[in-house]
Amino acid sequence: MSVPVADCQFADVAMLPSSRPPLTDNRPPTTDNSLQATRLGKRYGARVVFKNLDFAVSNGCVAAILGANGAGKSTLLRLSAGLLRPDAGEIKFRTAQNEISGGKLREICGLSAPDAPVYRELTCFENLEFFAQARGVDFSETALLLQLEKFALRARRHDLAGDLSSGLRARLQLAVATLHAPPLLLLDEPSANLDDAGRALLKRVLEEQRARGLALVATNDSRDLELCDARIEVR
Amino acid sequence: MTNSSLVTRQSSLKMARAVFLKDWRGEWRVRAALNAIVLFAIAAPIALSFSVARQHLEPETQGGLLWAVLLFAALVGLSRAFVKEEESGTAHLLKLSCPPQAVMWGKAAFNLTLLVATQLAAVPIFMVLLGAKPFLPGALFLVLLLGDIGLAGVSTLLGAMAAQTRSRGALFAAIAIPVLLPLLVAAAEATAIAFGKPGSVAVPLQMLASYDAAMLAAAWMLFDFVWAP
Repeated sequence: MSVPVADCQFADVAMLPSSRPPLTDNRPPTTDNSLQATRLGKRYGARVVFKNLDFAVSNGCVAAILGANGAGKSTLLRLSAGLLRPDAGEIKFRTAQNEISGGKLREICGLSAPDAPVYRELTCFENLEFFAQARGVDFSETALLLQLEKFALRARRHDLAGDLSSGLRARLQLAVATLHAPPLLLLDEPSANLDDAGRALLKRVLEEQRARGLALVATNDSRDLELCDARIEVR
Repeated sequence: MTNSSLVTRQSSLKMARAVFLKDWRGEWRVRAALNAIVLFAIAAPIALSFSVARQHLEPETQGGLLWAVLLFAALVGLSRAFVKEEESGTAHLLKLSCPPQAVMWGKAAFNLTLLVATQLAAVPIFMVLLGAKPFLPGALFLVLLLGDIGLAGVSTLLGAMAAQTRSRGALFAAIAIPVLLPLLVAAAEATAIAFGKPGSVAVPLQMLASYDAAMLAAAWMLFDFVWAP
């Protein structure tokens, strides 16, 4: 696993010391895949959020996006998800066969973010069922219940998402984001509302993600940094 | 979670159906749009019946008033399908998870059924209170159906556009009314004939059908640009 430090003008990509345990999934990571940003720039009106951002994150790597409030961490996640268009440069997910960019990025990523909530008026089970069907994948009821169980939500499957505590809703967001086993997982402040058990779940999610792809974690929480292998500093 | 025995690929139709069912489930629990549209569609004929008390209304007037009521009822509630997604933030995950075409057809079907449900309550009340008699009930049914399809198609496309702006609901009404004028003219004329005005209902019905086809085609071609970033 390598995280090349590219020609970074406004961002640094560096390896973090890691003591993570062995991967729990036996599938070897596909090392060819990577997320690469080249001279990436984004502005909102006259305000430049960042420009000339270069980085590359390889498969099997969990990279933390660090930066002060308003530096553009969440914007970078949205650009990586294909939910925003860059004003300059490009961001691509490279595989051995092809390059995925723009709106196509949406098909290969899972996102969990405080401002991208699940449907409060649907139950936990209905949320999972809807997002699976919306992605064109028909999971069996057993598979959906297993996913809820994995995030300790099976007992709350009939509860409306709006009636859950913020911590349980964060777990449901993680369950939705990882349901289709995305090769690119994007997490924005993932442990903000999680208790110790929730953080252990998050750690497991990221371990599994290393086995099947890569992840970007936008955070200012030092505990999240312990779960990451590299950092991208946005300033 | 990708065990192939548990997973099968779905068609776009099933994705659109998922959006439709999700919207109805949520709407049935909250009833924000349904209550607003039904209350308006019932209150407006009652208010009209008082304001034109004891006056004999010509079929042309009845047709025009019916479509004015239905138009404003639609403007009250139909943009909610997208405004709610933007206001609650769920539009992000919807854009991420669901192809734009599935979102469009699912939301259009939701808007259409919302309109039909509204009319089941509003049209009989309108006819009773304003003394409108359906001389051509089959034609009236067809006018309402074609009008609803046009309203649903236009409001889906324009609702998605308006929801991404700051003024949202107000902008939806401002841009929807000019686009809907041809539909209103044809629907009011066909309804007047169904209520007893002499003339052939075929011409306005053809206009309505052509309008629906044009608007659905426009929505189908443009929705990706409107919905996708």
